[in-house]
Amino acid sequence: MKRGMQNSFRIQMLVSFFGVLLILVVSASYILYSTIKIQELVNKNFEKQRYVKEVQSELGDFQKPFLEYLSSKSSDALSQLLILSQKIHGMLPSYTYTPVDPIDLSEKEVYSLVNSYLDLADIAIDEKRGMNIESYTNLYNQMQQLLDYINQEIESISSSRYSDQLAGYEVFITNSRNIQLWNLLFIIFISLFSFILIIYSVDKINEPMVNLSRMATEISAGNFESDDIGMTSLYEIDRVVDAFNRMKRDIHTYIEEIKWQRNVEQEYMQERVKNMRMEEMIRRMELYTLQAQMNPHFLFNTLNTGLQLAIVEGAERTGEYMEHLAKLFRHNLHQQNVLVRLRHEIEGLESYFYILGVRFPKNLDLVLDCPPDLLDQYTIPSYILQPLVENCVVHAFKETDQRNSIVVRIFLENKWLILSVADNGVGMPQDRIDALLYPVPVDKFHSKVMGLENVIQRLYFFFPEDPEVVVIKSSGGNGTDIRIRIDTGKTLCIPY
Amino acid sequence: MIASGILALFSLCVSVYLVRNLLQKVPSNETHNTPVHHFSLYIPNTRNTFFSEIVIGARRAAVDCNAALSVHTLDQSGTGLSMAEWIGADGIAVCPDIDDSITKNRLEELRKKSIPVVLVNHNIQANQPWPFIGTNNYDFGKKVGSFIHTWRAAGIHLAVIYSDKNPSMYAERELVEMGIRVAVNDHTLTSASGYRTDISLRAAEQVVYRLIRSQGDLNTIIFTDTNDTLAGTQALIDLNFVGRIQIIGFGSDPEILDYIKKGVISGTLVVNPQNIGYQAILSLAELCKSGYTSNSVDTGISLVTAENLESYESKEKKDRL
Repeated sequence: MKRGMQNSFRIQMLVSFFGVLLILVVSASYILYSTIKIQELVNKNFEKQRYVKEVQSELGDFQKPFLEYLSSKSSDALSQLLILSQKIHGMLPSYTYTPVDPIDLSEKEVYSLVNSYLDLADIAIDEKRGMNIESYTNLYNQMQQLLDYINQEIESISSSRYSDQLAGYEVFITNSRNIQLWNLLFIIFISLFSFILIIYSVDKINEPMVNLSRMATEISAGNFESDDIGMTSLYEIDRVVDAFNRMKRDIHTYIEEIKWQRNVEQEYMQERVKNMRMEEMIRRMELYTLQAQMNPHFLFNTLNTGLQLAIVEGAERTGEYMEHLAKLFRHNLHQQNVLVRLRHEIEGLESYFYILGVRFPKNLDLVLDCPPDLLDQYTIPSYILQPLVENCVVHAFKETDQRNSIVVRIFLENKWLILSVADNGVGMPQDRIDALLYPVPVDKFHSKVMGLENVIQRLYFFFPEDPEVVVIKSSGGNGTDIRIRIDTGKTLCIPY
Repeated sequence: MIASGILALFSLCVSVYLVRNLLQKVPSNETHNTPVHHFSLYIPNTRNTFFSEIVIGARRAAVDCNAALSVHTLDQSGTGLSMAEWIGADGIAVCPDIDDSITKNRLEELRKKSIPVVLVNHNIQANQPWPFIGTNNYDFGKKVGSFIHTWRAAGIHLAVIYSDKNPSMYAERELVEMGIRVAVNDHTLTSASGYRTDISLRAAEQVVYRLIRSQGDLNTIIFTDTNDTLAGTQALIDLNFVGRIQIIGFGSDPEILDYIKKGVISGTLVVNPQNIGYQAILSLAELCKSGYTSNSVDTGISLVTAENLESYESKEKKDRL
């Protein structure tokens, strides 16, 4: 957010506080100003009248020393007269203009009369000094008339002014009341405005705090998905809000990472457990194998002895049979690797076929079709073809009178190496096929499972990504074709 | 918040407006158009519309001449007028109704002090040096006489009712009656007598009653004041003498004009008091400016009858506009 004076929390606080203070001070000043103006107006109405009355009073005071001087020619009276005359002269306003208002014009005339009165007094004093009795007596009489007229005019002015003021008084009072009423309304509304302004300012500052508090509560409850707190116009608050939002996001990210790590660890542990089980299974298989090898070794040595005996006695066919049987035993005994070359698997199958040919010379045809160029090119899981052939021999030809045949074909189809074992036996029911093709989890697989099921589960084990690694096609009475397909482009899956 | 702010601002504006309005009502001492002269008008101490109209006209002229005008009343002793020399006025207009000698003395004092003076509505002596503004009462009488002569060739028995409400007319009653006599032939005028009412508004009623009772052959009454015209006419209506006695009124009061329309009053003489006041101030302004003015300004008098009533009313309406 742009950092400016107007966006500062401190400045806004100060502006709000002093703004309200200023509004109230200005309002109070205005109320005071209007009240003073009204008072001044009232005072002004009486000011002129007071002044005229003061002049009248001074003129009244002038009479006594004037009469005293005319009677006794007293120097004290004269000095008093001169002082008063000077004072009254000083009080008389010097008009630089002629008023238009009738009352003001009458007032001007009164001041002119007073001035004339004082002029006549000066003449009378001179006449007294000259002992011109008749003259100063006439002047005195004239002055008395003038004074009476002045007093009469002043009273008339007072009366007129009073009437004038009385007429305007009601209007003045109405206007004053209206002003006071509007001033009161102004104070009420400006106070309301100031109050709302303060509340607004406090809310503006308080709102982000409330949001922070709410968000903190949500975060403490584990809810990190809520939206970020919105920015305000106060950059100090916004810095806190921004830091809080970033903190929320960082904590969220951190917690997600911890969760992910925990999941990875769990998966790792599960995998490890699985591997341990597999290791255990393999060891058990090895043990079984070793156990199984105990007797075959003895049998193999015995067969070799029998072979030597047959050669010594000249029984050549028996010797050949025993040789193939010994080859098959040796082939199986020496099979240590999990994966073997195709040639190795075919050689074992050839020996097995010879033995089966001896066993079923009349009603079993055995065909092995494998191009020689494939023998050394590909590697396959060991011991997968012989169990399939054995399964055909054991199960396919029960209760059949026809000539039985087992055809083993190895060929390439696109990228797939196809191993097919087909018979013309009784076939296999679909439920049996479904049961056989159901992959058993590794940890549930029992190494004791033998024959066709063993081969199928091992193929699933080696090719977990290919659910059609083994396919069984069979229909009642039309034989069974078990096909194994191996992706030649992929390395066999060996989990350990 | 905005609403309270607007209301506060509105209240403040109204309050400021009222304060400003109140302060503006106070007349300022200094005016932009300061009067160049200070004139004073002295009128008789009577309350009637005639002099009020003179004052109105004088005030209008004061405004037009850029002068200030103070109005004073005359007392019988002449004290008020004697103070005129000390009030600081640049010129004095006087409607004298007091003794001519007192007036003359006071005016002389003013003349000594070179204060311009004009006489309004009433001349004191024809050979005095003060300009006169008003109607010529001889013309008044002549106009009345001519009018009477148009509808009565012989046996005119008339009464002129003067009034304290229009003192100048009474003061110059000889001129009025001379004018009447000149206009009507002496042989047609059987009798002509003058009567006087006081300042009471209904004073004419009593005079009319007395005249009817005492002078059975009276056939013409001439009034010299508006209020007397109205009161006297009402008395004649009450006595059922309308038509038997011809009435010549004074003034242009709407009621009088209505009487003319109805044929109750034969005619009325109309002077223009506002014009008298106006011309008086104009003359003073001229005197102050140049030292000279016309010796006499006749503000004229007109006779309104049923024949010319309509044109008179339309002219008045036009003048008012």
